[in-house]
Amino acid sequence: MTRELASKRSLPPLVAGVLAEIGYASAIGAIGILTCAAALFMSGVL
Amino acid sequence: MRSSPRWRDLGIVLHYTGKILAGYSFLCLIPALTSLLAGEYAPAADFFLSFGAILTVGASLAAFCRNGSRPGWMHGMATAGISWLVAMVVSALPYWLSGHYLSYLDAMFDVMSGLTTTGLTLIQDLDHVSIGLNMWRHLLTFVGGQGIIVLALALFVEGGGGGYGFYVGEGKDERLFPSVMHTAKAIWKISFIYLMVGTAALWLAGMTIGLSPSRAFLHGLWIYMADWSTGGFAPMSQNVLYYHSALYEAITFIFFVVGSFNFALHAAVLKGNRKELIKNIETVSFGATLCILTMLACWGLMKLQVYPDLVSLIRKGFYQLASAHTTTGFMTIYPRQFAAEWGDLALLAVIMAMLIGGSACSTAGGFKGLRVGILAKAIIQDTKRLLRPSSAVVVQKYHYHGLRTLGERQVRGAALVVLMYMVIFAFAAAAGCLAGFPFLEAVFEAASVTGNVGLSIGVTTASIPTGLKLVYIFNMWAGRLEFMAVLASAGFVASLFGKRKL
Repeated sequence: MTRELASKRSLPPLVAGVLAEIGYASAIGAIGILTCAAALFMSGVL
Repeated sequence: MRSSPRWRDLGIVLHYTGKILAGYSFLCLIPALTSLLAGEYAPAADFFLSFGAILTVGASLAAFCRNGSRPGWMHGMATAGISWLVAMVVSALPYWLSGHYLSYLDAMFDVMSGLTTTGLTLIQDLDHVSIGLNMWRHLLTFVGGQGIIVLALALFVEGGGGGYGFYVGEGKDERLFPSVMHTAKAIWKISFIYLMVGTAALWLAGMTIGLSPSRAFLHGLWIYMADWSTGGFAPMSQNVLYYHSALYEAITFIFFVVGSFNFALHAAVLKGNRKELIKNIETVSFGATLCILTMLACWGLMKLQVYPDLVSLIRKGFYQLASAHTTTGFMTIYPRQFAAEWGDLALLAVIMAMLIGGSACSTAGGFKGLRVGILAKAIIQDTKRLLRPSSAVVVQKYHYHGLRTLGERQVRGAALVVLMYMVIFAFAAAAGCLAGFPFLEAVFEAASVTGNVGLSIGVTTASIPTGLKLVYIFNMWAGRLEFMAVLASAGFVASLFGKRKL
């Protein structure tokens, strides 16, 4: 019963998969932004 | 038993090349219908004429070279290599008829650039190209990203025993399903799912920056096609810089990163195995090299005070580097800014990113994160061997769709591909220097063509010598097919004319 409810609440695998990949790419972008910020910080600009 | 190909084998190769070409010709109908809808009747006539010509050539080859034999591994590999060259020659016809190219060679250069998802262009007056021709340019790069052989396998070529040879010959070696035809269909299914999501996102982004709904849709569709395929073509000569939109840049960033992932990874994630995203050796390798190279590029850019604030460092510096690393080639700066502003250190980071590239069995080029990861693991393994007693057995594991043990075969395969990339990269760099370009500019452009990237430092123009255009065409072709089909095609042709041992 709990499993049935959980499966009803979760997204279809295809949608969840697309969102996971977009989320992962966004996380890569966030890491890149942080790396740029760190470079600016180390050079004394930030 | 015989080991070298005979003329009968050439018939098999040409028969399947003809079949692939005949199917491929139907792609011309998409820009033809687009042109008709847009009221562009002259471009529509060009595409209908090209459709008839390509279909005739393909159907003739398929009919006259029919000999009833099933293709084997060798035929598959040679067909893959030769099909790409024949596709380049025939696909240039609509380009040449458009009047936007100074020669047929320039048109073929652009076709090879599109099909290999490189993105360099020799087109004249890009900003005034017809809607139909823009559709053809971006369609070529979208189809090339998935692979023309993958398209043929998905639609109509049964392939037989050589089906896997066709597939591997195109630089893809991951089977998402036991059947190669099912694998090809799955690759197209994944691409169409993202085509809808990406086009919708860019359509909305286009309207927020003031484009009309129809123009925003077409630009969204074209940019998305080049984005997902890590192609780098754009409908305007200023590339992504034309839109002056952080939102547009963010969306293109997300989809070129996703587009550079392995199709096997997409299939695993879309089936529910989302942990593969963070465990896979390719994504780990990509994240690590992107961080290291971003640091290096930022250091170089900061030293010269090129982008003194965080926003411009991200939108100009990081965007260019990520575009290079995924081998997309989208630009938010002018080509000559690389040469005039970026400095040696930042350019070195971009060159390294272009050579490494994205994932294996993806739309991306370069020698791939998988091979960087395998070679890094091999270095760790050898270091451990040095530090432990000689009798100790050092087992090195890596995660690639499950935990695998690193063996000599994988290391040798990875090292050979990297070595061959470096050889043709050096060849193109030498050709650039011979044509009179400064060393750094010749090296940058060589890395861009070899890695199928498309970023330009300003070397690639219609005025470069014919020899350099031919070298760049060869590098784009060899880099995209990852050498196996190129070597097989060359060996196949050479052995047809060579002396036969009795």
